[in-house]
Amino acid sequence: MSPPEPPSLDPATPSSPADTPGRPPRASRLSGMFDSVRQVGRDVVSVALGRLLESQEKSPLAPPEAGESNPAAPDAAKRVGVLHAVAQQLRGAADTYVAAKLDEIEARVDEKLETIEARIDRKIVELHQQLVEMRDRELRHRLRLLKVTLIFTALVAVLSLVYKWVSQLWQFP
Amino acid sequence: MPRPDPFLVYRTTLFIALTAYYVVTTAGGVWRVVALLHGNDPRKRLLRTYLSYQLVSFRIRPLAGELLQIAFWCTILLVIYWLHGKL
Repeated sequence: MSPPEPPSLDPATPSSPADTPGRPPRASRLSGMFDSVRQVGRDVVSVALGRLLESQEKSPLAPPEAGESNPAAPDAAKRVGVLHAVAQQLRGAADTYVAAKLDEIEARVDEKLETIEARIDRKIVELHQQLVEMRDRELRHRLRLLKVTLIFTALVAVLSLVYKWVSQLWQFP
Repeated sequence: MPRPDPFLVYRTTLFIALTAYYVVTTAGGVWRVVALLHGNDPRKRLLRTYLSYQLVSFRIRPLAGELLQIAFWCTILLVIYWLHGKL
């Protein structure tokens, strides 16, 4: 049995079919798939047992037609009845076994999907936190640049003020 | 013809150059952002929604120090401008 593959986080490839919009949820699709598989199993068992019964009826052990005086007729009918009862029990046992196995597989698949979804959610939260930190860092950097620009503008303005004052003193001593 | 004041020429040139630089840089940045967010692609819509959420969830408190300093330097600049008018 091969180990499970990690979930794909590539946005170009959808991680699961349930992520695409416009489709039914994953659980309902899985249960629908399991129901159809279960129905196919029931059909196969029914067809096989039906053919078995038909072959029994056509076989020399089949019960004779009514009205014929055959001493072995009650025995054959009894055998067919027993066979039918065994077939019914077999069918029920097979159905129960298949249903139990499908439920087990469904539970394992659900558990695996929940694990994968939890990992994807954790990754998304982590990426969101990183983006928030990057946003705050970038804003702080821009504000620092704006502050430096303002400081230099104020320095040039002070220089201009001093120049204006000195030039006025020079012109009107 | 009166001789131009070199300091005034320097100040005016600096003002014009820096204003042109900031206008061009800001317009280019805005244009790039608009081009990035424009379109009906589902990914673009998701990006627009996410950026809207980022704008809504933005908090000023972590940047309060920088904003206070900027407010202080703007006040200083306004005072200097007022003193220019007084002289």
